[in-house]
Amino acid sequence: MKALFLVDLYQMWNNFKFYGAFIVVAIGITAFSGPGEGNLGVFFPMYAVFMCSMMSMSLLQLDEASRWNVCAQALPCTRRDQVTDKYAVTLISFGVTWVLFVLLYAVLAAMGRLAWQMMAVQSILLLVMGLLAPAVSLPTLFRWGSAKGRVIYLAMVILLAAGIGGMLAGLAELDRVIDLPELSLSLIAALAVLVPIALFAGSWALSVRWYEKREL
Amino acid sequence: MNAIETRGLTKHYGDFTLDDLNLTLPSGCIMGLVGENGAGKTTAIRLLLGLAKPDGGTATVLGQTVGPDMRAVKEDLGVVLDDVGYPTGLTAKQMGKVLAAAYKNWDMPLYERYLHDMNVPTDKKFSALSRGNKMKLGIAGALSHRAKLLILDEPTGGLDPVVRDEVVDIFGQFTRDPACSILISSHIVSDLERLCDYIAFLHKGKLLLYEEKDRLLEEYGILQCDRASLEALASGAVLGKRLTPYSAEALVRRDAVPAGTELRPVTIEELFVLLVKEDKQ
Repeated sequence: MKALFLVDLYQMWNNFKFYGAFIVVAIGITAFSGPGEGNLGVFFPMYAVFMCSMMSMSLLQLDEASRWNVCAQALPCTRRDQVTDKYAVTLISFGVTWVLFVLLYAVLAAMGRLAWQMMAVQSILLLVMGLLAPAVSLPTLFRWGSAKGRVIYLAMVILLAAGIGGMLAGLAELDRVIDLPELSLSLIAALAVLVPIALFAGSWALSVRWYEKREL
Repeated sequence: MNAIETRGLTKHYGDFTLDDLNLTLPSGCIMGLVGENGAGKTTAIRLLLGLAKPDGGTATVLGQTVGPDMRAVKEDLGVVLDDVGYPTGLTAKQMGKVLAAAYKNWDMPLYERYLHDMNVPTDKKFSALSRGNKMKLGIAGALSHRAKLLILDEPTGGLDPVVRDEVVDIFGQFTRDPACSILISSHIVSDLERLCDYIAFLHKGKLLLYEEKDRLLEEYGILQCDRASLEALASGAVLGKRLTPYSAEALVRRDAVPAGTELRPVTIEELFVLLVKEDKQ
C-alpha cells in the first residue's frame, strides 16, 4: 500500500499544488473577515474543506485515465489496499485542512472575535461536510468508475438534499401537531460527529465490497 | 511445478466468448500467445491476473489459484500490459521509487541499468515518453524485482526493430534460469518464433492450436503445387491454403501427405495466417 500512497503523493504534488495556496488564502480571508461575519467567512472554509475531502475523487480519475488502477493490480497489493489508500488520502487531506480551520477558529475565539459555541458549531459543520461528501462519492466511483460514478454521485446528492429538506419540513409540521421531545445540544453535537464518522467507515466497507466485484 | 495452468477457462463479453481455454506453461519455458486483434489474448491475460472473473474454469499462476488475494504470488510476477499503465505524471525515477516500495526484492541498480541500456529518459514524465520508451520503462519495471514469471501483453509493439531485438534478447536471458518463465502475447510472430518454446494460437476466443514450437515446425510443412494436386490430397491433410489461378500453397500435416512429397519448412507466421484464413473461408 506504501507504493500506492507514494503515487498519490506524486500526483498531488504534480496536479494539486494550488490547493495548498488556496487553503492559505482561505485561512487569510476567514481570519480577516471572521467566520461568523458575512458569507466569505463561511464560504471559504467550507469550500477549502470540501475541495480537500474530494481530493481522492480527482486522484481516482487520474488513475483511471492512465489505467494505473489496472496496472496496480499486477503489484503485490489487493483491491482492498487500493480502496484503503484512497480513504487514507481523504482522511489526511481533509484532516489537515479541518485541523487548520479549527485552530483558526480557536484563535479567533480566544481573541473574542468568535463565540466558543459558534466555534464548535462551525467545526462540526466542516467535519460533517468533509466526511459526508467522500462517504457518498467514493463508493459510486469504485463501483462504476469515475465517469459514470460522478453522474450517479450527483444524482444521489440531489436526491439526498431533497430527502433531507423534505424530512426537515415534515418534522417542523409534525412538531406543530404533536410535541416532539427536545434533544439536548450536546446530544445533537455528538450525533453530528458520530453519524458522519460511522457513515465514512461504512462507505469504506461498501467501496471494498463493490471494488472487489468490479471488472477492471 | 507449472508456471501457468488453465482448465476450461471461459469468459463471456457480449458477443465475444473466450471458450474453454486449456493451457499449460511449464516452469523455465516461454509461451507465445498468438492471435489477431480481438482473438482473446488480452482477455486470457486479464483472467490470469485476476482483473476479470471467469465465467467457468480455473486458472493457476505459480501454483496458486487466481483469486482476490494474490499478494504473495505477485511478488514473483512481472507484468507489462499493452498500454503499460504507469501514472502519467510520474517520471521513470519516481516510478522506480514506487516499485521499490511495492516489491520486497526490488533491485534499484538493476532497474537503473535497464533504463540506461535501453536509453529511457529518467526525468521525463510518463505522458511525455514515446510509445516505445513507455514500453521499455514497463519492461524495466517488470524485470527488476527478480520475478519468476513474466506476463507480457504485446510488449514489443511500438518498438523499433533494433530495440525489439534487444528486448527479445533480454527475455531470452531471463529464461536462462530454469525457474523463470514467460507468457508473451504478440502480433509480431517473428519475435515469438525466435523466443518461444510453446505456441498457442487463439482465434475468435478459441484455442486453435497449442503445441511445442519445434513440434509444430516438424509436424507441418508448406506444399506448393497446382490446384488439381491439392484437391487430390486427403481432406484431413490440409489445414489451410492460399490459392492463385495457377497454383496453390497449402499448410499440410507432414504425416498425412504421400511419402516423398516435397514440402518446404513452415514458419510460425505462415502457420498462423493460413490457419486463420482457412477458418474464415
